[in-house]
Amino acid sequence: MNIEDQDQRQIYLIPLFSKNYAVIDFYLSNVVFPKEAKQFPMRLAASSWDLAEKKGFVTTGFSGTNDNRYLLPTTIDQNDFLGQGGTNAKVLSYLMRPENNHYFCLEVAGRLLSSRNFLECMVAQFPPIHVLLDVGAQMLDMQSPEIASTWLSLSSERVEAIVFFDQHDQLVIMSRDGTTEPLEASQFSQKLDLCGIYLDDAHTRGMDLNLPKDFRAAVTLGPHLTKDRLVQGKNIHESQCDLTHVSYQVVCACEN
Amino acid sequence: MMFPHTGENTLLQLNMGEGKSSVVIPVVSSALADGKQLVRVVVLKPLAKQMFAILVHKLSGLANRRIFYLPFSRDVKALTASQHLLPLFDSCRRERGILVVQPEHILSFKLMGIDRAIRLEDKFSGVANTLLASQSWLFKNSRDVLDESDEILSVKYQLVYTSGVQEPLQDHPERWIRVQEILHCARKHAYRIRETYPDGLKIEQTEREVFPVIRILDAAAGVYLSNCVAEDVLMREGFRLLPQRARKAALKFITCEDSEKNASILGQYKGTGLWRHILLLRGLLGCGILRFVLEKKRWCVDYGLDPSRTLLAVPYRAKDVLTLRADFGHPDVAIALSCLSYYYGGLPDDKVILCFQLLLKIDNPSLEYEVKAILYYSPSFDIIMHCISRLGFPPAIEYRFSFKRSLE
Repeated sequence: MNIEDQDQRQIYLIPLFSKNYAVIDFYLSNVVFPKEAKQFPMRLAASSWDLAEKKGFVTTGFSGTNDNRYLLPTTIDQNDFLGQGGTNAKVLSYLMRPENNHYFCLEVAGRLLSSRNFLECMVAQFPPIHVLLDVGAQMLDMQSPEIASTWLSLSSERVEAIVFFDQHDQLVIMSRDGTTEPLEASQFSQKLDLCGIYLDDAHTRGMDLNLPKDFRAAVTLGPHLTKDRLVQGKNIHESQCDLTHVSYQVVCACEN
Repeated sequence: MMFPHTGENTLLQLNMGEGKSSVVIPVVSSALADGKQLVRVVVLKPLAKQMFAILVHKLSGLANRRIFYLPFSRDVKALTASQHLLPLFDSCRRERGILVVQPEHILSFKLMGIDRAIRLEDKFSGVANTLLASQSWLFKNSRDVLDESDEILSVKYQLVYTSGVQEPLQDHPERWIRVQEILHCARKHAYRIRETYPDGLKIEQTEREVFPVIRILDAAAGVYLSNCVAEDVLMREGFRLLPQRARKAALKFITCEDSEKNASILGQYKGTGLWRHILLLRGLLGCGILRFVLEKKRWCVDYGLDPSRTLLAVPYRAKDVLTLRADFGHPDVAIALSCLSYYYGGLPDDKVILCFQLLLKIDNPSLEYEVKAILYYSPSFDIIMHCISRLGFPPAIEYRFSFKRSLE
């Protein structure tokens, strides 16, 4: 036996020992932890309390949801207008509209659909779906550009381009010839009715896009998704009367 | 919005999709920027570009306002920051400009000042003073408008600066040896507990010597598991020699059933290594770190490895999606999750080889112990013996293993 010998390594050592927990413990105790498990004598932490502190001038803020109003720093108060009191109920009533009552489970035979299969399902819906809001972070095996190109390849000629966010938080558009450019500079910026729109979970909040009235959107749900995030995701289009196609994953959420 | 009637910091709920960001922010911020106060529009990172574009589009042409954007992080040099930022802030205020800023920038700037001030070498250089002066200028003159305030003020968010010289963890290397011991103990008891709570635990075992993926699904099963582990550990080395009474008290203390009687019995051990061991066990078992890592955190979804950054486990944002800079702040959680990441995922090929090279090189009494441990847990004894006898370990060790085998 010679540990320098490639064949012996591949046949004996590695398969036998790579998942053996005694070897792993040895590796952790001799290589990983002595080098990496370090502490600092001091940690300085800042949090939302520092953003809402009382200072020379007041701080004001607003948001579409007020679900964490009881968890705010004590230096700031939620003071809603009387006239806006019905906001939460109004949003819920959008959610409860009959045309929004379409649910669909992403699981097939106990396994989650891959992003590609999910897109295939979505493209096959009628009336067609134009907007995909991945609030539940379900499109895990693909990055946004990949999703856009897959969507384009699956959908009919009627969808000419896909709008999405690139990694620099910039709204971009990918057209059928595969080129990507900023949305403002694109010829499609005034022709959104020809486009599909994909928003990943980081960008579903507070997004303003002017969409045609008859657009239909799909929203994904996932484990630990709170109501305010779901509602924030949907706010993009609730002023437009649309159909919402919610694919959900409650089975999975319970199991986890 | 501009002048809350209470005169205090105020948040409002405004209905979505009716122009909060595109109408209210530009109107309010341009009206507030009157040359006397510095108006900062605080906006989440993913929305910052869009907000900047909206303000430029709506205000810079029509109202002739300058829109400022001064990103800040720990990477900015303190000296540069101290020299240039305050004049920029001030000109923004005087020109009635609007500053678009992310929460991270505000907090990072604040912490940098404090960090510099507590460092000895900077005490006299003036950098710290200038930074703190800028901070207090901001305190007096800034008028903040928060967009999506409930997310900005979310309880989950914090920014941490570590400060000082990095040092090894307290009680190393026992710290991680204990954690590994607890995890193996949990593995041992998991099967038995699954018999009591069939739906409380999920165990996926692939091979005999591979650490099974354990998930606690029911809180009661988790508590039971912790208690079993606590009892087991107290029967082991280190505690075996304690008097019966002290051991009972220690068990109660470790499982967080506190009473004054226990405290007085254990009082005599304070300050010893044993006491630190007990405290660590109390954190892991009584305070729920073991349950936390096996119940709340899923491998590859909530945590995993990022070899490009560190050898320890790091938080994941979603399945297989890394966070850019976050770490696990709690050392024992970080250690336990690192162990589990490697147990579940296995070692890469080159690391296995590295282990053997290290093993062959180690020249101290612990060698025997390590080799023993590895062989003891190894899959098929014959093949291992075959490998080992050719690897060139000292004959004494080889002999011991042949001997041990004949006993089995």
